[in-house]
Amino acid sequence: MMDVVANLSLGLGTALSLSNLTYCFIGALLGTFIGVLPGIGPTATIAMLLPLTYYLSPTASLIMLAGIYYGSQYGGSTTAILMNLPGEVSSSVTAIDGYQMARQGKAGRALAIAAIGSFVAGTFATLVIAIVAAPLAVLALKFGPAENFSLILLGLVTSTALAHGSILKAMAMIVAGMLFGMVGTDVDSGQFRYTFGIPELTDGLGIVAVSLGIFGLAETMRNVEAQDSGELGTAKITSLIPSRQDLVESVGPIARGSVIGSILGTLPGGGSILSSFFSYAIEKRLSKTPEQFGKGALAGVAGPESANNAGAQTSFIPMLALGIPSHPLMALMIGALMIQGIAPGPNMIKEQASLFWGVIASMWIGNAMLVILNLPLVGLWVSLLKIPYRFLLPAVVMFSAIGVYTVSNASFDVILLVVFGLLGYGLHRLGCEPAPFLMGFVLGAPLEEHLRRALVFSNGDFTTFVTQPISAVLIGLTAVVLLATSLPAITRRREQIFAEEG
Amino acid sequence: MAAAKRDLVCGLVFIAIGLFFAVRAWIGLPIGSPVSMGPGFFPLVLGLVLAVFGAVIAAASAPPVEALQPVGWHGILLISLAVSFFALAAQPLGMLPSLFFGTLIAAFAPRQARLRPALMLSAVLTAFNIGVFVLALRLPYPIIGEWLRELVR
Repeated sequence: MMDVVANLSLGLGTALSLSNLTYCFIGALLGTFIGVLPGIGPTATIAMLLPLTYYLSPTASLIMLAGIYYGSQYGGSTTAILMNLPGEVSSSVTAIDGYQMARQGKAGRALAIAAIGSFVAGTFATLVIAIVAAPLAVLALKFGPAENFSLILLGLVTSTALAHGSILKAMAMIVAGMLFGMVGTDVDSGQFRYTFGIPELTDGLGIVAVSLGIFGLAETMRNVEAQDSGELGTAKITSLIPSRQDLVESVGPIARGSVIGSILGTLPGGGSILSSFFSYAIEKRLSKTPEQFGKGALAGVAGPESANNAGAQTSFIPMLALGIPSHPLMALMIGALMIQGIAPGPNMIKEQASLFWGVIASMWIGNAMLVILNLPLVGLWVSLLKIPYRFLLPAVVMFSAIGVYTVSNASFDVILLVVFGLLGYGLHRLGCEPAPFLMGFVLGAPLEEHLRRALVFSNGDFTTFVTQPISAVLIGLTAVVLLATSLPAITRRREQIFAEEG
Repeated sequence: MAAAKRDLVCGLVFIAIGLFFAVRAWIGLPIGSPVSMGPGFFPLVLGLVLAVFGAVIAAASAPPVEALQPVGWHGILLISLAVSFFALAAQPLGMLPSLFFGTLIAAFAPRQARLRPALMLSAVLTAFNIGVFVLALRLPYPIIGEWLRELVR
């Protein structure tokens, strides 16, 4: 326990430096700003703003990126409540009751409860991370290559189970991503793979170009034909102060949401999305007035908002402690760290203690900043929403282009941006999601490395993956997940969940 | 049926990508054996796996969840053109022209674009991007590129 306190103090010390506070603030502000804008999801946001953090120290850049991440969550919730336009998927649950509350003139109270709930959940999640991360890293250090291989495999398979749409296509996208991740120089042998004599490819395909292309640019190509939505919400914001009754009613949902989010957030592919759905379902079940849900029930906002913020924060755990991204956004964070020359993983907690704990502490500070910031600034965000998409689109396109250019200093990477944009657009038209692609892209090389080493240790014996106990458990879980997702009952339930999502 | 056709194409795309990587690995890279894996081993396996996935997807088709919207070729073309222009023009022409004209091209991607707002938007965004990247972050990119400077001289 003393360890936790000591670590948090180290973290606070790092996070409270003036420059880090500033970056936290800028990150949170930028994140909210972009989170509010329609048509730009949080993954595209982080991909776009990643080049900006390139020039900062690793600690500062991760702090800023984390700020952008939960900032975009707040921004997404704001538009979900005010305009029924969820900025991103996990806010879509908030929109269900939040927008109804707004139409009843209770927008201010909904926003306030969402912000307070998120803050409380964030605090809880920060404590969870502080307690769990170090022991988890210690455990992970005992993992050999076979265990690491099986862990990554489990993570990948689970993320397809929790993803949108066809599992088969998701798995195909993962493999495709891994293949593109093979482009470059093979670490073991130094051999060039798939470089076709192009010097810019010897270091592989730049992650910024690939992710911005497949998420950001492809999204603009999808939205370019979209008509600007006519009716923008007429929600007027009266009072931002929730009544005592509101606060009392929210205690339960917020508490439950925090716990649900903290646990589900660590699951690969889970993050905030699953948490908010779960929380909504539970609140509806536990409520004394379930018929209110869908018509403006406060618990329908308080619970999911807390859950999704807690989930967003705890989804950092696998990334920071194990080096394994639980979803593509985390994969981008890993990319950001690698650009800075830091390999996230169990060793990072010891070697980069001030970075690790500094980021954790700044997440808590960032949450506090967001509560203070957002409520007064709501009016500003609302007016931003009135910008027609035809003006946003060129901004996003060119900002992505110059961003890629500055990270790699090569026009080649900007051309790659176009290529992956077209690829992402095409694959989306064919019914494939880009997220698993990015996961595969980032995890392909580590997976290969672990596979190789495991086989060297075992002298070519493939059964090593099931004879080593921990690895066997992980493989077993992978099989369970695969089986479960092919069962018709689960397939129907998944379709139900995603249909509710819109 | 549109649905069956979409999954057929999707499957074929995956088969193509998978085979491309697999064949290149087979002929171009040392494969090795499980005990000492060559650089071609993993890509070969992955490529074959992807081709198999592609075949399954093509064979079993499912109806699409959402209605198919028409392809916005106009928009896609202009977006691609805008970024490509920037990529090629950035060095010879410098940040200012490449950003300005790139943004202008992109501004015409949405159908509702009109000249004057597009020009203003391009000017504002160019100024903003130069402000952030060249001035604030002090990146060493010339605002007017060498080729253009030579021309003007």
